[in-house]
Amino acid sequence: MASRLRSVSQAMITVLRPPTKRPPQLVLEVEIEGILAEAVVDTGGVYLFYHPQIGRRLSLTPTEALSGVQTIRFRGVLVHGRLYRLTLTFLADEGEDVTIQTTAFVPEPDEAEHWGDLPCLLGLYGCLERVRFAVDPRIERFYFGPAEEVS
Amino acid sequence: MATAGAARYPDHAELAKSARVLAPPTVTRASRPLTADIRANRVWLKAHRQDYAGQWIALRNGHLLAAAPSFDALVAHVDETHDVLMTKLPA
Repeated sequence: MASRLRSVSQAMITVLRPPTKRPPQLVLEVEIEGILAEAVVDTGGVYLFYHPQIGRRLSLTPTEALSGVQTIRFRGVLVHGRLYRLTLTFLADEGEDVTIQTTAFVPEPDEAEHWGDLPCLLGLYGCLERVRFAVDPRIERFYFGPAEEVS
Repeated sequence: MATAGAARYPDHAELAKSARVLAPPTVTRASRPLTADIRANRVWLKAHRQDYAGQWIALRNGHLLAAAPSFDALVAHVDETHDVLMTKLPA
């Protein structure tokens, strides 16, 4: 039990409560392919959804993509993009950082105008499922560790 | 099999891509040298998020480098983007 406790890292998470009727969001600062970004924890979603404008900083080329152009319905809007394998690092305030390889959906650059205020999104499938995690929203803490240490 | 094929034919682009796509995802953990003060950024955002609502901001080590209405305008104000958090704050 003690070794398990030592393996858990912590980071501050922001519980963002929009002024509108939208539900609260859990916002985390992470590093994606070496670029710092804010990301919303989206346990109901799939993939790492990368912000189309920040995604331009990666200079990704279609030859690096895992797929051709795909269309995904995202919050009621059809978004065009490609799947890539991107490295995501959960940055710890206490403990060690954890780096995973994710399946990431990077929208085509011209999707930026439809993206709105959303940051990047950490979906469950292909992303969050590769770590253990827990959230304590009262004290705004995100706990995480590598999934494969669980026996 | 894809990995073996890519190793045997290292110049074959399709095999190399298949090996990369089909490789099992890795998970690593490491202590980070304190190159970016992540906690300072989070504290700044907690205090000022509403002040810059609707804008793109650039932060380094808890210090605001620039704020702009668009990503392109923000990038134009930031010379060195290493260890810089660029994000859009919801309106």
